[in-house]
Order: sequence, then structure tokens, then C-alpha cells
Amino acid sequence: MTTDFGTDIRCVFDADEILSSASGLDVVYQDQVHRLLTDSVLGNDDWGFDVRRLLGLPQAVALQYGPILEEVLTRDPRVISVSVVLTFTKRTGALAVAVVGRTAQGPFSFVIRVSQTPDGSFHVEV
Amino acid sequence: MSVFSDLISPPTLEEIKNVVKGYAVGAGLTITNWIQGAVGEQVFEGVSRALFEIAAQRIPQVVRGFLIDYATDPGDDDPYDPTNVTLPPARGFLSQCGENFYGTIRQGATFARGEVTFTNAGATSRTISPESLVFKRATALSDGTYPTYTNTADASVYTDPGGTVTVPAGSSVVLPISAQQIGAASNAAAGTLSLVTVLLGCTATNASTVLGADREDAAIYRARCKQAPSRLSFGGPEDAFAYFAAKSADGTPLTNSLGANVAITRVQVVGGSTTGIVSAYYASASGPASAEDVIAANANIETNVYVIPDAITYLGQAATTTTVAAAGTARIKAAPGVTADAIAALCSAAAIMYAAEVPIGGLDQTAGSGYVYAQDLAAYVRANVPGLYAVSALLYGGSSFAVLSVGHVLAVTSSAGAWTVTVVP
Repeated sequence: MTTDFGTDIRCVFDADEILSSASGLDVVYQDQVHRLLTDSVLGNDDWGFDVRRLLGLPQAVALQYGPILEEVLTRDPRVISVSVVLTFTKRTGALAVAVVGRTAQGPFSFVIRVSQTPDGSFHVEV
Repeated sequence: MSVFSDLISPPTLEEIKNVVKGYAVGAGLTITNWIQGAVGEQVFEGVSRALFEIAAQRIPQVVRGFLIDYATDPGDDDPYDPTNVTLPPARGFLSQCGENFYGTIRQGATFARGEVTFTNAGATSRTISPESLVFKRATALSDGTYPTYTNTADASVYTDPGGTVTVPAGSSVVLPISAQQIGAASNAAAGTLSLVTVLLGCTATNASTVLGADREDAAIYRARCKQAPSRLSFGGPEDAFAYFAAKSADGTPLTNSLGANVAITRVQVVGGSTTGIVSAYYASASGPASAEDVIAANANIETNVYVIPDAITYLGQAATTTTVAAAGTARIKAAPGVTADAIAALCSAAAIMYAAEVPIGGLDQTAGSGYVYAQDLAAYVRANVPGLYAVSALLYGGSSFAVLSVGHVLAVTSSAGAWTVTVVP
């Protein structure tokens, strides 16, 4: 497995004005975040899994999606292994997806928090 | 590839991507090891697809649209765009090209129109208003449905108050009708229509044919357009006769006494310079032209557009059928659903269709008499039956050619039993 993870435009939710670059583990990190917020990309209709869809499911069902999300994240050839833990906040109904992964360049981790606002739109934090 | 072929034939999305990659690599970017879905990779995909949409599809489409041999209308077969044939028929590049460059209008589809005799054999009178009755043809379409028709408005028929007509008990009235589906599929022979609307004691039938037309075939329309410049010459060129056999002086389709568009698609003109007699033979795609079409074509040529030079005797007539039996052999690779009998039936059907491709008098004519070649028929069968190869054909049971005399149009007879198909494992 390659250890050169290359360079890409730095862009988790948006790029900056000068299109700064990201490299190494940062590239893997932003691609992993995208995989959990995007179902399909140009050239692949089954690329990721948008975890916002889980907000529409009963919580007991949504909490069982850990293995499915792990499979999605390990489609990235740079990721050796990953574990996903989902939790709901009782008061707000927000979903937290905690990801811990391992690559040849070291570990990475992040938490995506998604919730639905009263007007039906989604709020996403990473 | 030449510049011309590049302009009419679009590159593939992969070819566009390779061009963009080439520029990126040339600029020093190391982009040969993509991770699908990465930000830069998706930007590259988006740019490539946008370029493909504009440069590889729209531009060649526009270029083809101005060339009569490549332009199509929505609903036509298009070798450069397989989706075009699925579109609803409409005016597009081909019609615009034909009208603007050749002054020739493409014949559109029409609803089958005619008349029925509505008979009231009941005990009470019936008041009929337009579009209140539905009729049906006795014979179904290929999909199992039946064409339907309705009575259309006509101020000379519906003369009673409220735009109606009253049919007393024991009497009849002739009502104009129109098919409810456009095109020739709704054509109905005499006596094949009946009343569907339930009116006790009432019946209806058609004493005459009910005729409509499909949109003019694209290939036939292109040929007409190329003949159009002959309208400007009244020296009696052959193309002028061929053009005016089915088109009016303004390029609109010629109609016959039945109100249907003249279906003549092939014309052979044979002139005798020593006799001053010019003979023309007419045929449609299916065989000799009908009597009504011959009358309409002759009237147009002789009277309306003055194509005949002075001191020339013009004889326009329907072509005569020469029937040729066709048989052959072919091979096809085995696949689910492929059987020798089914493919043989397709070969037979294609062989019969080949007749429409042969000009009156055949090929390689000498003084108007020519030939039909078995190898051409075999090539046509191969082109129209997907997957077929090693096709050979014989005419009249053993000949490689048949003779078509002057004024004779080919008709092919064949059957599945006349074709030996080998399914290759």
C-alpha cells in the first residue's frame, strides 16, 4: 500500500480564495469526511454514504449502521482500518459519528455531528 | 482523422479526459494516481464532462445540422446519437436544412381521415354532435391495440341548432371522421370500421378507405432535397421529373384525388431522342405507384409545373412488378434466444425489404434495363440482421443476378425456409 498520499486542494466544506493545498494525512482526512457526507460522485454512483440520511430512521436502527459506514470508509485504498461509533444526543436528536482510522502514515480521527433544523435543513459540524 | 470527420463525429468522454490530463501533466502537475472522489479529481471530472457536453456533443451536432446527409429531425435514426430516435417526431435540423437550403418541406405525419355511414335502425331519432362518437378498426396494431376514430366537426353536416345533426329512426347520415392516433398505422380499408359508442339500434361502417400518412422518411426527404435544384431547369432533366412526381412547385408534398400525399419515391425516366417520347415509370417504397398517384404526378408534371419541353410526348405510368425469389445462407454466434428458425425469419424479412432499395430498372442500366445482384441483397440482409456474418444469397433458386427490364420495379419473395442459418457455438 502506497504511503505517498499526494496533494490536493484543501477543501472540507469549502476551499479558500487561493485554493490552498493539503497533503498527507490531511488529504485522507478530508476525503473521509466527504465519504460520510456524499452518496455519489462523478464517475461513481456508490461512492460514499451521506449520514444525514440516518436522521430519518428510528434511532435504534440508525445506531446499527456502524459496520456499513466502516465498509464505506475502507473503500479508500489509503485506509488500513477504521472504526465508527454512532451516538444520538437525547435532548436535540443530533447524531454524532465518531471515526478513528489508521493509515500507513499514522492515525486520524474526527467527529461529524449532524442535526435537522426546524425548517427542515441540515446542520453539519466536523 | 480529418478536420471534417472530427467536426461531425464527437470524441468520447475518455478522449476529452485524456486531452485535459495531457495539459495538466504538461503543466507539471502529477495527476496520474487519482483517488476517486478527491477534490481535485472531481474538479477534473467536472471540467472534462462540461467540455464533452459543449465541444464533443453540441458543436458536432450543429455542424451536422447544416449538412443535408448528416442532419436529422427528432425521432429519426441518427448514427451519431442513438437517443435521437426515441424523441417525439418534430421539426429539427433536417427539416430546417431542407427548407432553407433546398426550398423543400418535409411531409409530416397526418391523421387518417375519411367518412363513415352512421345508420339509425332504432325506434327513436338520435342527435349527434361532433366528437361524440367513437369508432374502432377491426384489425389490431402490432401491439394488440386497436386504432380508434371520432366524428369530426363539419359545418355542412352538423346543421342543426347547437352544431348537431339529428338522424331520424330508420335513416343514415355520412359523417366525416378522423383517427385519434396520428400516422399511417390508423389507415383503414373499406368496411373495417365499426361503432364503439353504445347507441341502441345504431351502427356505422366506412364505405371507402380511411387514409393518413407517417412522416416522410428521412432518406427519401434528403433525396428529394437534392433533386430540388432541378426545379430551376425546364430542359426536362430527369431529376425534375423525379422531384415533381411527389412535390409541388413550392416544395410541399403533392396530394392525390383521395387527399393522401403521393407516395411515389422512385422514378425512372427513359427518353428517346429520336422519337420525342419521354417515358417515366413511378413506384412507391412498396411497389408500383397507385393509379391515383400516377394521375396526380402526371398532372403536376404536365400541367402545373410545365416540366415537359415543347414537342415532347410524355408518358408517365406505374412501374411493373418483377418478382424475384431469394434464398441464402448465413451464420450467427449462439446467444440466449438465438435460434436458427428465428434468424431465418429475420433474413427472409430483410430480403423482402431490400426491394425498396433497388431503383426502377435495376442497377448498371443499359438503355433503362439493369440488374439486381444477389451479393447486394446478401449485404443488405447482413446489415439489417444484427450479429449475422458469412451471408450469401441466390436469386431464382441459383442465380447470382436477375434482370430488371425498363420500367420494372423489384419485388422479392422469400421465406424462413429459404434461409439456412447456422448457429455457431
